[in-house]
Amino acid sequence: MDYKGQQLAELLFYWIIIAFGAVGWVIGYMHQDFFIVFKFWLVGVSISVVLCVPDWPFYNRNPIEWLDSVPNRQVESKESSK
Amino acid sequence: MHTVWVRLNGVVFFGLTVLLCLSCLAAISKIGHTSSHAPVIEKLELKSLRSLKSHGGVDRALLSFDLKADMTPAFHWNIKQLFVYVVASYESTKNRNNQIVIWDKIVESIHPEDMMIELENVFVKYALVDQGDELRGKDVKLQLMWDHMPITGLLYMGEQPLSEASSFTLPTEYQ
Repeated sequence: MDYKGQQLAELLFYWIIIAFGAVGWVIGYMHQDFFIVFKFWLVGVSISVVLCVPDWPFYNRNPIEWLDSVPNRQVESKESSK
Repeated sequence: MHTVWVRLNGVVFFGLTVLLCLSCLAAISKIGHTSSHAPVIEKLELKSLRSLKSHGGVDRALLSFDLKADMTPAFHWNIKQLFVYVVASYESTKNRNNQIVIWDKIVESIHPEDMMIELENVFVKYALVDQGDELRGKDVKLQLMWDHMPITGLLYMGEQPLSEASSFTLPTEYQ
């Protein structure tokens, strides 16, 4: 998972859990039953686990571009110190 | 967020934090509920006095009572159960205010049929025992009290107004 992917994963589970919790709380309040809130919350967490925990391909769309490796670095540094 | 385990940890514990906030909101949503939703106590009075004896140096009275109360208004989505109890109170020379629990009952929110308490001639669970031998001739008040046990938040008490409590006078002789 690349850096952009990590950011996306964190934002996803953040808003999914909050959204399910908020909607569940309002519906639970209307029915005066906290178990409804818990069920909504559990669905939100389950979706987040499936969506955000495994390394899905769409988290790897911005691979880190490494610089090319320096050839013969030890040889070069010895030569420059002379 | 770079490995599966760090992400799993993040999701689970963020979820638990949200659940905690939702529970606290549920508790906050019912602040002030008791001021407009008081249980209705239609009847709480002495049915019969079974005995008043000296029991190893201290006075002990056994009695039965009638109780009819609707506890339904006290319940809401953040109440797990009520602990309902009958308190007998009287004055004595030793103590200005004696309060003795003589009977109790747990009313759970998952059993709505128990919320309407209608009992006749119930014998006390715990005897009315004085600290000394001063029970004879005393005026005793019977009062219903209850503890709200919430799912989240603080336990708080409720009670029948003392002005509505019934009272009776114990006999002046042992019987």
